[in-house]
Amino acid sequence: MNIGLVLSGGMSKGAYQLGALRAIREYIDPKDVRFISAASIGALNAYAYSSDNLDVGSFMWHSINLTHSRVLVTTILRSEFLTEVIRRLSKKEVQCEKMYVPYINLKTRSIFYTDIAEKEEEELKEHLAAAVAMPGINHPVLINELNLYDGATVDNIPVYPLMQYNLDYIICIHFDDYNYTFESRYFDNKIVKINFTGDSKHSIWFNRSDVKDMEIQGYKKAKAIMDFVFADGPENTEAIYSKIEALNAMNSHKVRRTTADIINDNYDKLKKRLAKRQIVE
Amino acid sequence: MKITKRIKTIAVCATLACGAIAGAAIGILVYQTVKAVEEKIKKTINIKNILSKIPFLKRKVK
Repeated sequence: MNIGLVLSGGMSKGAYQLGALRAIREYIDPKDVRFISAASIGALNAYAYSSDNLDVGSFMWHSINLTHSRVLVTTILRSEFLTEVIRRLSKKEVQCEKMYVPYINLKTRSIFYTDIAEKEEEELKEHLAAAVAMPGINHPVLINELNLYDGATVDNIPVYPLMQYNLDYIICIHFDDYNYTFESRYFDNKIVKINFTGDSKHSIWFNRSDVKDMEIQGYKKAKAIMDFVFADGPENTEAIYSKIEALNAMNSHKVRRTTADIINDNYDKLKKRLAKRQIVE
Repeated sequence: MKITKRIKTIAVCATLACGAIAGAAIGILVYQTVKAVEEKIKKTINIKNILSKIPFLKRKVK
């Protein structure tokens, strides 16, 4: 099967993803998830999932000294625990064919997606560190003479790199309170969307019990959706598509996601109209 | 062009409503205004220039 996985960034809300990925693992073998695209904390979670090391992903959240008082996510982003998670993950190999992670270069004001699935340990460490390097909080990571930051600041739900593959379906976990239509309708109808809105302050301000709650809720919600979508098995694509349609219909608050490509498309349309009236060439 | 057709329609409607002279005057006024706006757009809009100024617009998959 050709299954894709998209994980968005969301700082400490990444704990939801860990719970959700545990639920997904009960239905789909990580080996079958051949194409992954993930941003920011999602990149670490995706790497942990695909290398079958979700416990390493959890390590950071459970090791940091979170007492009853809440801490800012910057504590994590600058902590040794994050470095340790990256070090441990970079020793593992992923089972997917491609894993795209978005990066931004502030100097050239450009965004690009790099496949990190087959990077060597040292290079991988740098790429994972750059994936969570928040502008203003962390220093950029120098890779191939480019200063790179977390690409989630521009494209937080990086479904775009998976458009080029003919995938059976994609599982997308994000944290926005919208029922997005991604890129094109044809592509969108193949996406199983699992979103966790929760309390937005938990993205940046949390304690240990918040993290535990997020993991549990992540597991429960993802399991409920997986139960519904994969009721006829994870290989019955026709049944899965009809379930995706039903899920989309249930949440009528549909929003077309504005990404750079959509802006580009709209500019092209505007340009054609203006050219038709001979206003531009 | 569609826009010229619309101006003609406006001029005909104005003629029917206000008489020949007023209709012609309104038609000419609308025509001149539209032409002036088109000229202004021609001078100021450069799509390539606009696109190059928007950061992070072009995405690459490596």
